[in-house]
Amino acid sequence: MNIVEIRDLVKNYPLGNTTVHALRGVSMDIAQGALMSVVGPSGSGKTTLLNIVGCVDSATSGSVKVGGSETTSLSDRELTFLRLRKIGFIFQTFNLVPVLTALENVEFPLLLQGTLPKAKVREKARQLLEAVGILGHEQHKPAELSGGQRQRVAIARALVTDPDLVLADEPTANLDSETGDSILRLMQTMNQERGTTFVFSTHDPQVLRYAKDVVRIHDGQLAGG
Amino acid sequence: MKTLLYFAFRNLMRQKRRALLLGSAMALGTCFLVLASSFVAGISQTLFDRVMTYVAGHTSVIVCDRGFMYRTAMRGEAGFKERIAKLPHVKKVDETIGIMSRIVGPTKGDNGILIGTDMDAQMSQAELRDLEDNFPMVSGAFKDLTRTDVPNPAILSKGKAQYLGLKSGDGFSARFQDSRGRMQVGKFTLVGIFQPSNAFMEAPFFVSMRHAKQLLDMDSTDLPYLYLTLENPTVNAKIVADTIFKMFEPGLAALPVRLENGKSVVTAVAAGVKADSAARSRMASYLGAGIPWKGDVVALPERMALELGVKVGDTVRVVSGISRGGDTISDRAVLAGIWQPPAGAEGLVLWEEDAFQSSRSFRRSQSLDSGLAQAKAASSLLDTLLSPNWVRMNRALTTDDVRDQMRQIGARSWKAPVVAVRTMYETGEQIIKLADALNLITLVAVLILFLVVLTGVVNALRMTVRERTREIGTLRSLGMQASQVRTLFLMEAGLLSFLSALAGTALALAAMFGLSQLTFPIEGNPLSMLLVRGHLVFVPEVLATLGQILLVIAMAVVAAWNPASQAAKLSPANALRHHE
Repeated sequence: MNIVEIRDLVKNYPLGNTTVHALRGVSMDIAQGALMSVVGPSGSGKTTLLNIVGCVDSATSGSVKVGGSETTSLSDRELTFLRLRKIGFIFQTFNLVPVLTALENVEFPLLLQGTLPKAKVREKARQLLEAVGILGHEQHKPAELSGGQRQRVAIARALVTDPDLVLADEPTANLDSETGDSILRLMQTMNQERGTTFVFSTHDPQVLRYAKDVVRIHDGQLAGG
Repeated sequence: MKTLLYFAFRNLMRQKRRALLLGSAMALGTCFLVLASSFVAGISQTLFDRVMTYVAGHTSVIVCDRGFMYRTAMRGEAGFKERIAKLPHVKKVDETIGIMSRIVGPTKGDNGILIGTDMDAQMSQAELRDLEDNFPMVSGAFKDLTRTDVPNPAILSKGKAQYLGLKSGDGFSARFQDSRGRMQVGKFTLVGIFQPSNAFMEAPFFVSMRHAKQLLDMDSTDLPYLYLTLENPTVNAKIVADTIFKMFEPGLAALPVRLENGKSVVTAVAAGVKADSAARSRMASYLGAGIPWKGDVVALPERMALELGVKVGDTVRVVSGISRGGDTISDRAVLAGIWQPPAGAEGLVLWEEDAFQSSRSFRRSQSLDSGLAQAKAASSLLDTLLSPNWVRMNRALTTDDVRDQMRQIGARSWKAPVVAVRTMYETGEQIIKLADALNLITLVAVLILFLVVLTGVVNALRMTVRERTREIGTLRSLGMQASQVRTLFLMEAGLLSFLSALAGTALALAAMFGLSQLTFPIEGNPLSMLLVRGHLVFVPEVLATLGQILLVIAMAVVAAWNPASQAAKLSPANALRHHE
């Protein structure tokens, strides 16, 4: 069963008087429980693809279905709701909220959902922080954590809502190789233990060994998998 | 919402220096606003509760005898004072007497206003203190006006006493017109000297109300000017004035008289009949053209003329009662004609209005009910020709209306007693204008504050949105709705303004405490009228202050709306790409 189905996806950006063709007719499926890597050089369209799959950017044309919903026809409010319920994000630069502690950062998406009582939210956030191996640092602000610790917090935040799909845009690019490996191993473990679908982009061929599926992208087109 | 509020609070702490600077500006603005508003409220309270009650009353009843402007009494109608005192919102009703007089000292003379001050039991300690605050004493005290060991104790201003060459204990005389229009000279003793708080306060020449009434030939049955002190005067002044206006609905006047011709005597009731040209013409049609209806003339029913043995052109003696001095009031009137009274008015003598009202004014008052029935019966025939018990002037709506009414009174357009009901809005327009000007100053302060808040909040938030664009992208990616982003930024502005407004209010209260401890000199200070015992008065009102805090918050939120909406409209993908 596919969690994501993409057909003939085109994304063009206006850039001054010219148009940048970021994606040129991409079609692909992402199966439930996949641990997929999107590989390609800088500017190949990896981030654009992840952004559109993650409903933070819109397609110029084509069809994108996430969890069975055709995202190209949803309103901003519906897309936001879809992100909140079904998609987790891990960013290259971690993107933690600087004024919140590690624990509060993890709690934040659950508090936005507003479905669980505060105590349950805290308990779940702690469990996730324990799972990513950072429980002793839950009261630390992001600035007080190392890059690896921040990315672990970001992974916990991405998983706290039990999303169907986690998108990670070059999650190891800002980490040293040892820390990067540990992050990828963590994602691998989470994929295996929780069955969460992970899609991560990278331009580092070294990280491909962690992926079950690999999709190569070049100049906005898939090059094979 | 709780999450957003918590998040907003944490964000506020993020840019401490910026928040502190903007917060300080807003706090100072709020401080100024609360301070100015409390000062205006204090001045308004002083103006309305202290100055206005002396100058014009919140609402006033103005009377004059037969249209003579300076005969400030309406005979036999003192009962109105008690009725008015019982009206809702009326805190106090003061009888007021203020008559122009010529004061003569040992060397010089000068003009002054003889003012009756009610020193009897009804003046509370607070009122006495208020009086002495407005007229601070250099020597003596207001209670000295009740002294009985000297003739007519009086108080003068320091400047006037010096000019006249008087010192405490000296005697002096004053010339004035009494309430019946007679020139009187009174002997007074200077028992106190006050320091006027400004040039306007130089003129009063105080005597006790009891003495003033005696000097002006007024008694307990007379109604002088009434100045009312009201609860919440700005709201109630006009309401109370309208109620009092209705109480003074004019009716007809009648007067029991005795007519004499030699040994023939007839008891009758007289009604006044107007004598203007229109009235003369109508009366000629009733009486024949023998003697014009003008001057001291009467018309009798035929039966009465026969009883008295008089014919048209003869003179009859009209005795209309006992004067206040105990003398018989009598008048010689010419019989201008015989009239045919309608049923019920068979004993009614028609009397030219001026002489009729003059007799009414001079006689000691007594029940007139029996006579009124006859006058009312006659109104079926004579209607508008009959003289009223008093003339009620229309409610003046502006100061110009009041001026116009004073002109009409001065021209003696009415022969009957005149009553007018006014409010401070017409009589104390200058003071109201001062209060309005102060309110305008507060409004300007609000506008300046708004400008500060607007500029500060808009700039700070624009900067914040720019700095946090990437974070906005992250929050949107995590599932925060655009409306929640806007709410978050509005909450940050609202929280900052709320905390600033609280700090500003606390600062304002401290400043008020400090400023009200300062003592300003009263002597030679034109603004001393606005001081209480030399101190500035601040009246911080809880509701007004809460309103001002809300106003500051509302201004901040309004100012933040645009930048917050801009933040909410950011596309998540573009926001995430920011600075990339």
